[in-house]
Amino acid sequence: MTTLQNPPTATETPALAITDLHMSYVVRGKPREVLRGVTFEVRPGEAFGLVGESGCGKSTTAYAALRYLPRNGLITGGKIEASGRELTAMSGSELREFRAHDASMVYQDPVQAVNPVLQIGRQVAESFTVLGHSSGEARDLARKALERVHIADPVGVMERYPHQLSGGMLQRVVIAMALASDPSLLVLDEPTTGLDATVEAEVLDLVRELRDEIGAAILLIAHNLGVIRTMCDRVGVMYAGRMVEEGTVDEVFDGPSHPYTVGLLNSIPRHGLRKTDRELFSIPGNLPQIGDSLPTCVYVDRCPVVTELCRSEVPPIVDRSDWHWTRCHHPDRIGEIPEPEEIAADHLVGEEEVIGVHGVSKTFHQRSGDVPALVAVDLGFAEGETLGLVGESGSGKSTLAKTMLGVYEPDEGGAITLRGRPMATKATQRIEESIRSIQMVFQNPDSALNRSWTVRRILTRAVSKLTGVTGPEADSRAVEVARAMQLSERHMDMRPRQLSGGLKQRVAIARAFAGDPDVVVSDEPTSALDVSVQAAILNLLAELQRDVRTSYLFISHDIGVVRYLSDRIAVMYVGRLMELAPTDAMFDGPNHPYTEALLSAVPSVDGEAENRIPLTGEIPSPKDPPPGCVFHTRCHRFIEGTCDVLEPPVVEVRPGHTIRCHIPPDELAAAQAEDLGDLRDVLRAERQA
Amino acid sequence: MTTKSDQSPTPDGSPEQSGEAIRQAAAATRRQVRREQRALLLRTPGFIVGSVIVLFWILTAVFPELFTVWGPKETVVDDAGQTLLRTPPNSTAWFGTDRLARDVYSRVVHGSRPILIAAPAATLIAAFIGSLLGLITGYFRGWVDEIVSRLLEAILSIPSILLAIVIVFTFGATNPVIIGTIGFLFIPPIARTVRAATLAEAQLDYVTAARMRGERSLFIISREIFPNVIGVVIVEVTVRLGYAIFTLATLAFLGLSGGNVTDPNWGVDVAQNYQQIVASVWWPTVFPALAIGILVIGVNLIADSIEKVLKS
Repeated sequence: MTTLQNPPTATETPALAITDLHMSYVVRGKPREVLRGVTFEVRPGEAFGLVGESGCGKSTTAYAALRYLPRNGLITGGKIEASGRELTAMSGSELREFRAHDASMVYQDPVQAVNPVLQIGRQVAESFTVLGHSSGEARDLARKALERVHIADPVGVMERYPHQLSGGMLQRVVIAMALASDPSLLVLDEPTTGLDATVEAEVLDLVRELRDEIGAAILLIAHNLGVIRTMCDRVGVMYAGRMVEEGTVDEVFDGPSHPYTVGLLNSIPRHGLRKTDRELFSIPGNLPQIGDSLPTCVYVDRCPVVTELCRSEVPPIVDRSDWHWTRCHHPDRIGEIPEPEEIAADHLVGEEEVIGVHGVSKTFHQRSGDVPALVAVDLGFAEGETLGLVGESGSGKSTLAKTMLGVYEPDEGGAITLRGRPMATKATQRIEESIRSIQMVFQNPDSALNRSWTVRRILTRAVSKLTGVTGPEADSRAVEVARAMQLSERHMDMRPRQLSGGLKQRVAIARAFAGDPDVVVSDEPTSALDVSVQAAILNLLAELQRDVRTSYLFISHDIGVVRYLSDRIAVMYVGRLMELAPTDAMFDGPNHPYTEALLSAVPSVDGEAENRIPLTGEIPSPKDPPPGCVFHTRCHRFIEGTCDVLEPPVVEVRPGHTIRCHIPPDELAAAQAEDLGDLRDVLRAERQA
Repeated sequence: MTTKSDQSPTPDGSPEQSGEAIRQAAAATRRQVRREQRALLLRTPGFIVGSVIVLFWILTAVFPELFTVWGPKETVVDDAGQTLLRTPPNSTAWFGTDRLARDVYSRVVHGSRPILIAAPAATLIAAFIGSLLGLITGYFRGWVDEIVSRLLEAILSIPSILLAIVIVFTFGATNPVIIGTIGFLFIPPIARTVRAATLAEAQLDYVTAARMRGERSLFIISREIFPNVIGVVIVEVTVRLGYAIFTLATLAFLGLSGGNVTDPNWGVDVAQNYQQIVASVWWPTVFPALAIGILVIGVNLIADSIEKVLKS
C-alpha cells in the first residue's frame, strides 16, 4: 500500500484515541507496569498495525482499546477514547452497549472464541439478536453474514458445530460475528498466527476485501512484519510498553528510524538471503520484564548506537515526516548500525549419505480404518547438509520426523539407514550408536524441557545417556556443550522458567547436540520465538553446522527461514513428497503447482507485489486421499481426465530437482513465467493509472 | 565443538554481554517466586482464618488440658455440690452439660484428637496409593489404564458411606480399619486427578525426548513426571483432608468409631444427644456439630487459598 487510502483530516474524530495510557498487571499481589505511556490514534477507515516482540504490551493495548481487561489488569493513567467517548469513565452497562454496537474484536485462536456446544448458525445469529433483531431475522442475517465472509455453503455450515470446521473456516465465522454490528472499530489480535500460511493468506485477503466495504477503523496486532506491511496503512512499533516509532508502513519499513525497528527488520531473512551469505542480525540482550523500572530510553541497554545522552535524557519525539516519528536521540545515526558480518568460512556439504530414508511409509491403524500418513518417502542427508521440509499442517512433516527418530514404527518394506546400514525401527530397540546419531529439537522449548530440572541436570542426563560417560566427566562435557550454545556457567543451575525463550531453545539444542549427533531433526524450532531471538537461533544452527558438519532436517512453515538455512528443500502434501530441489532451483522454478501456491502465500515484508495463488478448500485427510494426484482437488493447473485418474510420475527437471506432476517441466515453466508476465502487465497498468 | 570467540552481534544471553540478561532472568528466580507465593498466601484472608482455626484444633488435640477445667468423662458439680444434669450453657460449664452431667465444652475440646489423628493418616494413605495409580495409568494408558480406571470407577459408583459401613462392619470398628477404609475410599478421586495431570504431562515433548534417548519408564515416571504433578497432589491432599474429617464424623455418628462410646468424639456425641433436641436440650448436639463444621471449613479455606496461589 503505497498511499494512504483515506488521508486523515485533522477535524475528523478518531475512531480510537489512546492518550498516555499506563497499565499494570497485578501478579502475585504486586502491580507490575506493562504499558508506560502509550499514545496513538486510529482514524475511521484506517488500518493501524501494532508490532513488537512478545511482552511489549501490544495485546494488552488491543484489549485496553475495548477496556476489556483481565481481572488483574489495572489502568493507572491516561485516556482511551472511542469516537470521542471516554471508555475509562463508562459504567458497566454503557460499556456493554459500546461493545455490542460500536466495537468488535477478533481473537488469536478461533477455536477458543466460539462455543463448542452450539451450532454455528445459532452463535452467529446471536450476535444479531443482541442488536434487537427477531430470531427469524437474525438467522437470515447470519446466513448473509457468512456469505459475506465467503463461506461456500452457509446454510450447511450453520447446522454444523465448531469442531467440524477447520481453523480457517472458524476464523471466518468469528470475523462474520465481529462484523455483525457494523462496528466503527475492529480490533484484530494476531488473527492469523495459529493458521497455515496458505490459510493465513486467505483470511488476510478477506479482511483486506472487507476493509473497503465496512469502513471501520482497524487495529491489527501482529508479530509478523509481513502481515502488517500488507494489511495496514500506518504502523506503530512497541517496545517495553512504549511506542518507539510510528509512521506509514512504507516509511517505517523502508526507512526505519529507530534502532529497534532496524533490528527487527534486519533479523528476518529477506531478499532471498542464505546462510552462506551472512549471519542474521540479532538484537543483544532481552526485553525488560514487565514491572522493571526503565531507563531514560527504553532501548538503551540493547542499542548499537547508544551515547551518553541516551542514558541521561528521555529521547524526544523526532518527526521524520508528516506521519512518521521516532523516539530516538540519534535517528540520523541509524546508518551506522553495523551489518552482520559476511561469512568467510566455506559451508561444506559432504558427498556420502549419512542417514537415508528409503521408501518409508507409515500407516496408522485406527478403529475407523487405516490412515496412510506417509507414502513411500525417499530422502537422504549428506554430511553437513540441511534439508528443509515444508507443507501445510497435516501434510505429514512431523510424522516423517518422528518416524525417523523411531517414535513411530514405519510400515514393512521401507528402511531408515545410518551410513548405509539399516537401523532398528523403534527407538527402544536401537543400539546406542543409532540413538546418538539422530536427535531432535522441538518446536516449543517450554514443552521440551522438564521444568522441574536444572539445565545442568537436563544436559548431564543427555550426555550420560547418549555417550555412556558418567560422573564429573559427564558434567564437564555438559558444560562444554552448553558453552558451544553460548550459554554460560551461570545458566547451568537455573531451571527453564528462569530462562528467556531464546535461552530455553539453546538448552534444547544443547541437549540434542550432547551426544555429537550426525543428524538433528528440528521441528519448527523458531516458530515459538520472537524474530530477533529466531535470528540468534538460526545463526547458532548455521554456525554449529559449519563447525561440526551436522546434517539437519529442518521443518518450518516459514519459507524465508527455510530458504535461509536449507541446502535442499522438500515439499510435502498428504504424506507424499511433491517436489525436492536444491534451494536455488526451488526459487528459480519451475515448481510443482502446490509449491507455487505455497510460495505465493507468504506475506512479504518488502512490500513486493503479490501474485497469490489461492489454495481453495482444505488439505484432504490422508485417511481418504483423492484418486490420481492427491493435489488435483486444489490444483489451479488441474487437467481433467488425467490428474484425477492417474498417479503422477516423478519427473526430473534437472539433476537433483524432482517434481511429482503430470505437466511436463517445460510446460510448467512456460505457464509460470506467463502468470508472472500477466502480473507485470497488471502492475504496469496500475502505475499508468 | 568450538566456542564462539568473536564479539559480533551478541545474541541474547551469550556470555559476553549477558550480565544484564541474567540479572533480569534471575529476577524471577524460583526462590523469589516461592517467596512471593508465600507472602501472598500469608496475606490471603481465607488462609489466615483457616490457619487460625486449624492451629486452634491442633492445640486442643495436643494439649486439651490447657483449655479445660473438667475432664471429658467427669461429672460436673456446681459450687453447692449439686450434680448438673442437662444444664444449659452457664459459667461453670460453658457449653452446658449432657444427660450424664459431663461438660460439653470439655468433650468438644477433647474430641479433636481422634479426628486429627485419623483424618490425616487416612488422607496420606490415599494420597500415596492414589498418586502411584494415577501416575501409572496416566503414563502407560492402554489396558493397564482401562482395568485400573474401571476398578476405580466401580468403587466410586458405590455410595461411599454405604461402602464404608460394609467394610467397617466386616472387619470390625477399630481405628486401623476405619483409617484404612477412608484411605481406600479416597484412592479413586486422588488417582483420577493425578492421572489427568499425568496425561497432560505425558503429552509434553520432554517425555518424548526422554523416550527417544532410551530412558526406562520407571525413570520417566518418578524423575521426569512426578516432580511436575506434585502441586496437584498437594492441593488434592488438602481438599481430601476436609472430606476425610467429614466422613470420619459421619461414621462415628453412625456408631462406627474406633473407641469406646464414652470417649469424647464429636460424631458419637452428636449421635447420642440429638434426640433430646425436641426437648430443647440442644447444646450437647449443636456444639460438637459446630466443631466438625468449623474444622472442615478451616481446612477447606486453606485448601482453596493454596490452590489459588499455586495458580496465580
